Amino acid sequence: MNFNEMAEHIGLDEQDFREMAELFVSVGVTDLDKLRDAYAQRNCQGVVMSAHSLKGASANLGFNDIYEIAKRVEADARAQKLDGADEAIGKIAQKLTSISAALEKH
Amino acid sequence: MTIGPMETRETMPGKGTILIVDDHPVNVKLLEKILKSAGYGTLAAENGPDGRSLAALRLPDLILLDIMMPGESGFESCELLKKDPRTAHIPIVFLSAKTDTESKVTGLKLGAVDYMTKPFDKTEVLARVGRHLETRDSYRGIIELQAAKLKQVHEAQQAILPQPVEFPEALFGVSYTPIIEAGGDFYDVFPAGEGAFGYFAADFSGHDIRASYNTFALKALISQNTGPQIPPAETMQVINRVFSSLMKNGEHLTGVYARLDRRASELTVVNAGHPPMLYLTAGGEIRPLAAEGDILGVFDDVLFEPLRVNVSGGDRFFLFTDGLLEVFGEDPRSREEGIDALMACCVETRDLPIGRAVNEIVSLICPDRSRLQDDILLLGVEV
Repeated sequence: MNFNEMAEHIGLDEQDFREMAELFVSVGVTDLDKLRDAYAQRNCQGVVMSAHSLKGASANLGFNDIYEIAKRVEADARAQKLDGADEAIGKIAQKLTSISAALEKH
Repeated sequence: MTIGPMETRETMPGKGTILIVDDHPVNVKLLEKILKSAGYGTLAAENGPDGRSLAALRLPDLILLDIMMPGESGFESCELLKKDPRTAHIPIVFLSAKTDTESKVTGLKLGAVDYMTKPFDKTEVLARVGRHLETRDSYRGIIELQAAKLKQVHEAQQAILPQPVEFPEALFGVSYTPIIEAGGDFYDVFPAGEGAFGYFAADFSGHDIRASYNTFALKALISQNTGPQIPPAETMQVINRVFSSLMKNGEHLTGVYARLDRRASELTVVNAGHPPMLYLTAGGEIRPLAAEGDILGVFDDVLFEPLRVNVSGGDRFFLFTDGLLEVFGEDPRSREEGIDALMACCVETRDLPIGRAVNEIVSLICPDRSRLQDDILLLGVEV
């Protein structure tokens, strides 16, 4: 994960980007909890809101893997489909852990 | 992690202050960094109601508004911001992950100046914010220029409206409140022969600046076409001839001209489609003086039936425009009810000097002049 490259891509310096990425992980964990709860209750609107939140923030920082997953979950939930949400939640959790680890490493 | 329900973050404004309304702290923080890097000050709120309160309180130069937020959506916030006179002028740019055309069209129809989709691109955000602020500044410049011109018209208009101190022997009091800087109501008081004065009230259709320009033309016509040898009905005929050639598309004016000859104890009234004058005797009896006549500025040929009234010292008469009759708001009145209310106020203030009586009558009829929907004019004369 090249934070310097990602920072340049959105016009920030690396330090600012790291700060943003830390905030993203922190808020992302909360969003993911909300997504998990909404999915457990089969609450499609709740899934839409949480996935939308993750989608917007990840897109803005260039975390494209999370963006793609969240986008698909949001679209499916809008169509009242929650089939792949469980797997998606797991993948997003892994991605957030990876970002967190990368932030700690450097 | 959330920003908190009412918490806002602020930096010192440089080129302008931008209010960011977004429920996601990452988006808010990123926009703050982008905007601060270009010298803008920022304010932030995490939901629509907090954003609206902050906008009304701090009047930012531009609002970046997310659409999909819990509770009040950005569309609803935009609609409410545009309805609030305190914030209606602030340009709003939607920032959303919603990329469908329908959302963009909805946002623009609600009064937003722009719509940007997430992910944000720094250069695009700054370019668009900069352009909208420039546009806003240009509009502001035009508005300030127009306001200055309107003020000049207002001052010129005030200068042609005679005040009681200029003609103390005319024994009149007047109250005139236009709803814009330059109004469409008009009055004049002028010598009309030895021991005689003319009193004129008029109301031009419309409240735009064109109506106020016409008041200057009317002043000139009255000045040139009144005097002891010119009957009031003839004055009205001349005014009609000139304005029917000037006015278009249903524009018109109504007016009433009262010529009071104190030495002959005679009042002559010509009414051109205007609300009737009110006549109050020294004994406290009041009645409308219903002289018949056509409106001015529409027809080539018009008819007037002058009314002559014998007057006595201590009697009063009142000329006014219909803004004083049709008070709107919580207590709307019909024209008939308005005349009845006005007559009651004239009687009630009978013991006051004419100048004070006029002001008191207007205060009784319109206690809150900030809510007027039409110019109001009341001209009272003591015989």
